[in-house]
Amino acid sequence: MASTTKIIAAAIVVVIIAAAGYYWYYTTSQPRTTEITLMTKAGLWADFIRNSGVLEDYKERMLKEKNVKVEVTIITAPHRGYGEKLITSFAAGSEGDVCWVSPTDVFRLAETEYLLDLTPYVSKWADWEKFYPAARNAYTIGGKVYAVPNDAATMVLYYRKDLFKKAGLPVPWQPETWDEVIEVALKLKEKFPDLPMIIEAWYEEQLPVYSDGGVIYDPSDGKFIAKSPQLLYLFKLYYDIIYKYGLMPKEFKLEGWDDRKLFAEGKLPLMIDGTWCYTEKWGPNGPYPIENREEVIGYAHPPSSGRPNNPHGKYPNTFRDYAWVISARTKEPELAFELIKELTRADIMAKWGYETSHLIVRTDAMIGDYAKDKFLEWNTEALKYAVPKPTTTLFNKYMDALKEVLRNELLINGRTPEECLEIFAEKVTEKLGEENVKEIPIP
Amino acid sequence: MNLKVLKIKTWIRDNLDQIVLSLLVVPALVLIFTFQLIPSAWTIWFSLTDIALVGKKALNWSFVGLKNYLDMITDIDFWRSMNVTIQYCAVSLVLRFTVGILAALFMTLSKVKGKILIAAIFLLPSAIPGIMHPYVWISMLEPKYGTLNTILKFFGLPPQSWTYGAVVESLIMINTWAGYTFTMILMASAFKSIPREYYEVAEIYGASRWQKFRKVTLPLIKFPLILCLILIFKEDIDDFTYAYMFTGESPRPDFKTELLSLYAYHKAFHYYELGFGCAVGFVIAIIVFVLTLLQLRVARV
Repeated sequence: MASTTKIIAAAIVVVIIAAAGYYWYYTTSQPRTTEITLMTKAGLWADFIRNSGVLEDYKERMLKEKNVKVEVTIITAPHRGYGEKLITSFAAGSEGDVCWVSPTDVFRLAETEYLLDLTPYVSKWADWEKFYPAARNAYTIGGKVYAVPNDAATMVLYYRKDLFKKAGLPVPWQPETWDEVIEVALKLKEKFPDLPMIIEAWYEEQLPVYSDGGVIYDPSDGKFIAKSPQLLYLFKLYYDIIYKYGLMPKEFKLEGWDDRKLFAEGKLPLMIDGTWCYTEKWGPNGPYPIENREEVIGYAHPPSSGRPNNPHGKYPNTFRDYAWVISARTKEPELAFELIKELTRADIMAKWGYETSHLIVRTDAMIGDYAKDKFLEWNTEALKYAVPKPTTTLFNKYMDALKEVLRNELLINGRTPEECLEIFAEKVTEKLGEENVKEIPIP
Repeated sequence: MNLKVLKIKTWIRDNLDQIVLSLLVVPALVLIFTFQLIPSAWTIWFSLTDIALVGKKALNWSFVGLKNYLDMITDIDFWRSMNVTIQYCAVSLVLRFTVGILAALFMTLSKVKGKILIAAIFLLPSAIPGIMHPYVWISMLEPKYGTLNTILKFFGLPPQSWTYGAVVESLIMINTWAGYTFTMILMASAFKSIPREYYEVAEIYGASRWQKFRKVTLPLIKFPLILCLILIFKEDIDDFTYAYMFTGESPRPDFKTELLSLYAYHKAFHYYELGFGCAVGFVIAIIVFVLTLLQLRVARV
């Protein structure tokens, strides 16, 4: 009797152990379910992510490698005001786990400790070394990496080949100095007196400073340049283009003309704009498609001022780009980083670059259609001349002061370059604080 | 114990109407408390700090008392913005009121056929969702390809710089277009509410048209009229959408479109100076509050 009881008790213990073992096996072998939110711009940007198949690849890989079933929710905000929406979302705690950001916002967000330090993640990621050093360094603050670059863009001097030919000008064309640009523009004006020209780097107004070998920010002492020979050159160049030679109508800037449309319609022989215009605006799916783009659109690097030994190279340029960050509040940092790895895969980067004409930022992404595209191949080369933006939150205020002086003093009041420089120095000192600016003597 | 229950029951029975009326106010109070009073309290509190939306001051902000208000009144841009806002409100007030009252007179006095159809056309701006207004007007005012300049060109007239040179005029024009229907509806109902007998009696006594207007119409529409003027001004003082449409994320350097609300927005969301932006927002709220008190006073009369 006693032995029967013992057998039954032993059997019960065995059953319990077996059940517990099965339960443990069952629960650990089942994939964990979780959600990742991704914040990006509405339209082109979000559509690319949805349609490129990158999310499906990511989900499949996570299930296979980590046994996690991930749902990715895309949060979007319109292109116009995206930066403000993003910052507000971070401040309100409603941002995505992974967010698409501009470089200037990265520094603001990192300063506020809103961003996850990605250093431990990138240090274990073999592909990180494949990103261009300039792009990697652009998001490294105090030795910590806060973002993974996604793409890049530079300023391009676009011209209409058909109008150049009609004016008897050589095609292809690559001016070496801004004086040459003015010379050609004057010939175009002579031939087409009614057509305006946009010889201004739109939202990268600081470009002529680089053309003349200068900088707007000195990282060695963390000060912005309020006055320098190069800033004077900038005001002189714009002044000459508008007033001395009458090449660029003031109304273009003041009234906000749609220069991309004018260019597409052949009403603008020469203009400066970003890399992305080539496909995003004038490509087959753009708002102003140009048939036979290769035959119609000419492109050249913005030249230098002609000052010898320019530290930025032969064709100094600006550097615009976007990157991916992870919110410091994310509950899934590993999975969020895995998503960034997927989004910045070489083939995805090349596809995005080809479809929207944005430049790749990793060495192994020169593949597929991107590699076959003459414009992109040419423009990727220009990255070596690109000067990255100052990595400080005061950059926006500096640029606001520059835009304000260019518009109010140069365009509206018609002040001389020397007067504009004085006003700019005063304004930028007031906006940034005396301790954050310095002046370089003008010989 | 029973006596207490009985007393409570009696009190409830005696005050049932008051209790029901008080309960009716509860949902509105909850909404106002949650979505107006709490945010307003936060706004006032933030306006007394140097908090920023992002950057170092978002983490380590401190109480600064009235510094934001003092900075504001010494900021030349604040006074430029105030100037722009007052001009905008004053001209908008005149135009919205004049156009609206003319439309109201047409609707109440005219005997033309198809008046209903014309009235429906008059009401179109308020039928179009507000979110669509900027899109409609951007396509109208675009300097090179916009509808208005195309029409001007068709008649051999020079195109106008709607988005730059005449940007303030454009702003006021859009606001008038979108807002005159308010005056029209309010004043039309005021005209309609005057009994016809008053005019008949006035006619018997041989009153002229002007006398009928001065002695009958004007006294009877005086209060709706004042109310209408206050409401228009109150509505315009914190206008944002159309000014934002012509301005965007950062202030226009010429400041022509920088209404107070936009100035507050740019301070808080472009320069990320949330504390300062809240101070400007609070000043706008005070102006609106004073106008509301005035409105209540007029409405009570």
